[in-house]
Amino acid sequence: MRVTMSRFATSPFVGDLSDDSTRQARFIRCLASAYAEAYASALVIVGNRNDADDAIQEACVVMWEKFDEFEQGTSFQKWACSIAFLVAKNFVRKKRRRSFGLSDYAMSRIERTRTGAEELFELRQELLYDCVEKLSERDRRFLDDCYSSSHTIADVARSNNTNVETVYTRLKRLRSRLSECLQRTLGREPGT
Amino acid sequence: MKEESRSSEEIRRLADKMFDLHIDAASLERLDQLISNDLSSLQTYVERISFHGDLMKQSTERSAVRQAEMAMGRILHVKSSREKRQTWIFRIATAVCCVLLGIFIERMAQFRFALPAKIGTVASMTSDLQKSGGALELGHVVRAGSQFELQEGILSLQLPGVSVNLIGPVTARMVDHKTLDLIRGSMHATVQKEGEGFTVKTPGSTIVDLGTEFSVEYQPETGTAVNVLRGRVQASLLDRAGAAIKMFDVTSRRAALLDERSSRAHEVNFSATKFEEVIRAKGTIRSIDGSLRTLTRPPESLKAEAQITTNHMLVIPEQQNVLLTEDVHFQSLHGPVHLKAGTRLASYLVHYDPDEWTTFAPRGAVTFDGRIAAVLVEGQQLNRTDAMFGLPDTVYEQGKFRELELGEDEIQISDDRQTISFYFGVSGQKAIDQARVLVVRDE
Repeated sequence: MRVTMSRFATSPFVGDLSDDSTRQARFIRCLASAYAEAYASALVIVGNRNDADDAIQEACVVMWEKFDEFEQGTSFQKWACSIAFLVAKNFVRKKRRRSFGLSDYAMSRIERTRTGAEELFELRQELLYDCVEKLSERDRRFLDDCYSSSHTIADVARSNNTNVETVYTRLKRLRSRLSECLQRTLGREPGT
Repeated sequence: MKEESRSSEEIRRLADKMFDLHIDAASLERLDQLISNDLSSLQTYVERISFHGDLMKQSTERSAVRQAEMAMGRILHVKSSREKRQTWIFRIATAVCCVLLGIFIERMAQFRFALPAKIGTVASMTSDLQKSGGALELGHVVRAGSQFELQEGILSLQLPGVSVNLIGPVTARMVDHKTLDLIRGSMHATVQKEGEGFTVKTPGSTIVDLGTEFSVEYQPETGTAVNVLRGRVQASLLDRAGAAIKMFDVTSRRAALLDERSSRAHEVNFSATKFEEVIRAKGTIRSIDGSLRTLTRPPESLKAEAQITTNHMLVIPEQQNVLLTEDVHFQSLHGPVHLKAGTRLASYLVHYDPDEWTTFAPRGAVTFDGRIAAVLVEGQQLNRTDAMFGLPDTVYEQGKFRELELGEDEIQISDDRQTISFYFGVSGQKAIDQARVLVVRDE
């Protein structure tokens, strides 16, 4: 198990509200069902795992703070995703001041595209699962190591007695195979 | 290749670069342009990043299933040899699966709501620290259950009566203020009287401190190595059920190797490597705060522009055990200081050498275990004391500009003379600032 020293975990808000166990339990239930989609929303804006981890932690703090404002009976997932998008965009804006990042216009377009085709992305997720299942056990393990939150690419290279470049080359090949499989299953011509 | 296909290929390549953190400013600008102006590129980008997100999610799910399968495999193996205990094994299997399921749910949620108890703080870290997970800052509260995964560098945690140093690469979990699970890698601990009983657990052994300074290294291939610099620890070799099968004490400058696979535990040659590594990085520093960092290895050069410190300062342990053979006078920060023969000193060089990317003048403070005897800030004083207190294999700057500009740079010493805080300005052609802090040892 990897427990990160998340900003959320040490946030003062949580300690202050520890007595309100009913509210907390309700929030956990809601968040557990919406977390994956909220994470995907943050990821598509920031573009990489490290920033997505940071952005989702901040987003969760905001959700918890504003949980009383959430209208019962409406979709928690939609509400959580909108907060994740907002926090992720702010995250990129801050980062842009220090280095570089996507423009506000590009980020708005990405958000619209992602929210406008949720069902399609769910379908792609299921099909991708089937494509990964078709890989050999060895390739699947390698892919899992590369995408695991507890390994860096350098770790994968070390455990395979190879260098980082070789890992990326193999990863690139696997991604291409999965991409082609996905496109074929969707009935598209690979490469489009 | 069709035009549309070429464009999709390009956007996929750029999205992969973005996900792998390989993207540069020019590529990002190109990506932005494509996303902003072309609907098909926009769709491809969102699909590609979502593709990576889906693979991450699947990886997490499969790892949890794999862990559960491995656990189940082990349980079934035990079951075949102990048929009479079938009922119990089934219960254990169910319990293990429940625990793994709990771990899996926790990983998916990525954070915890029921806040565990505060057990300590992050006291210092080296400048080369590389870790997995979220940002970690000095002073950060460490809670029970916190796990640390370092690829490189040294991270120091201050617990009640215990200073723990995790030496990368290492994975460890603080169970509570008295117990550390060392999953893989090396750790070092200095334990005061109030911290006695501090326990390090590895998969095949338990090390209980009895008031000491010791290091533990665990590698699944070789087992658990315990080295004791001073004091005494009790080491226990455990069987698969976690029961102690061998128990013995390891005393000052002795070492033992415990291998749970062969159920063997025996004495080996003492190795001071891990202690030296920690001393090189920390000396007698108790904690640091703000934008200060330490180094894992001694620098080759501390001349201007040789050790750039963008937006942070370095505090570098130098000679740690200098015995004055005669009375010495120093011109210290707040006037002359007279140190008597027989005084034992540890030296630290505070080094700040910003470059053009430096955006702010950093602040920081360092607290030592001993009392600060003198702070040397003048160029001549620094040059004259390099040979006495400096690192033998490090080349030092000899220009007068290494001294602090006291109008611009600020230094304050606490009333108990154990903490010194810095604020170094950035001006002048040669921006390097250095100060030498002399701390009394064994008072």
